[in-house]
Amino acid sequence: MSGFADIQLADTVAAGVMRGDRPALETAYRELARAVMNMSTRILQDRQLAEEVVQDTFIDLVEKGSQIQRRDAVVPWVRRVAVNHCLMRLRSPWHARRDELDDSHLDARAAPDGDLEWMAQIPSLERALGVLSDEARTVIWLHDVEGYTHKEIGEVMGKTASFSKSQLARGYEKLLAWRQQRTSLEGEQDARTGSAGSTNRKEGQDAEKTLGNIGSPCRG
Amino acid sequence: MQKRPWEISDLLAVADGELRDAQAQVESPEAQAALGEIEALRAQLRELPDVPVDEELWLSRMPPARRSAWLRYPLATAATVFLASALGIFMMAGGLTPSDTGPSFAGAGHVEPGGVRLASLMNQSRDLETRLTAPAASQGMRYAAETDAATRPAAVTATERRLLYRLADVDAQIARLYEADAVDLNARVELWRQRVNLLESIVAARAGERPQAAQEIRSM
Repeated sequence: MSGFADIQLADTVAAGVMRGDRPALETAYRELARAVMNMSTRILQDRQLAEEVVQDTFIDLVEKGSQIQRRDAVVPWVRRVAVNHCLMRLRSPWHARRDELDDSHLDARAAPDGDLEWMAQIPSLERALGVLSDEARTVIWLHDVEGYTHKEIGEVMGKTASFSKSQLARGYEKLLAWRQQRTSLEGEQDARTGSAGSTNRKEGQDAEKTLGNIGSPCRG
Repeated sequence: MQKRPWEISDLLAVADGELRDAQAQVESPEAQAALGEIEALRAQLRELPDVPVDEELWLSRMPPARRSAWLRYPLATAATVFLASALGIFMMAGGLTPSDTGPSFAGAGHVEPGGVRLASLMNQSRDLETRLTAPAASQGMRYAAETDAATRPAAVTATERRLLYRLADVDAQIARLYEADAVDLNARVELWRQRVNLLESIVAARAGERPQAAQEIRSM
């Protein structure tokens, strides 16, 4: 998966972004948009909202890129802006209301139009992330995938490092429970059918059943 | 879930290398297994597939970069800097001398004759109004010794009232002239001339020159 940590923007591109050069901005978009989309989709669990974040992040880059002081700060700047846009959407009253109405958290797993291949490859961990609280999911993603420290997470979320640690622990508590139950469920099915390949084919359905056993997502 | 001798938060701290002292607490086979699960989950999170993002759509809608006006118009910037420098040097060298500024009447060479006449009439009007509003003693009004003190003020007041009506009418015509789309300079000059004449008549009336004032009224 494309992540910010893997991206090295060429010096010429970074300098162009800081000058507001359109070709450089286009290159930056091509190199960074996927990372922004990956992070936003996993945090927000909503593909449409994630696309909005991508749009808003790069509009900010176009309009405020000249404020970036150093070339090596362009990628962290984009990541920080994208995180802020995600958090803004999570905090919005509209998001909270929609969460109440739709606690199935299936939006992010909706495939893009016509892209059946991507839909077929949806891994079950994606579903597990969806049942975590917004806070726990955000902390897990920022800490374990983006490499944020607890202090940095506390700063961007307006909380403390302790809050970040507790959310990480609560999130992993649920994920480990899910993983444990899924493993046992797969073992039972394998014993019944005697077919190891069946687990792969039914992975999505099994994960959904197992997540149903976990209970309602913890909030806060 | 069965009670464990270790906490998830401890395992996470150990996994992050933050809690070396607690290493001993998580050395049990169960804790090590849980630690392995956490590491496996983290690896899976980082390996989640990319979420497709439509690059071309946004690139086709990319807003123009907001760059500093100085950077957008380099030639204009250079010209501005040059002119500012030249002006600064010129002013430091002594600036304009009286002989450089032409006639003492500011801008007379660029103002059409009608404009000069209008400005002159406006100045006269202002001076006359100042005289009328100043205390009577300072106006040097002449009151004939033989004048009947009981009847004269009433007669002057009647004349003055008629003149003031005429003045109000002229002022209204001047105001209407300003409201027109295209201001007629000749009409303005004529109205201001009438205003000056009326003010002079009022001054004269107050000074006791009744015949002259009556003549002014008849001539209008």
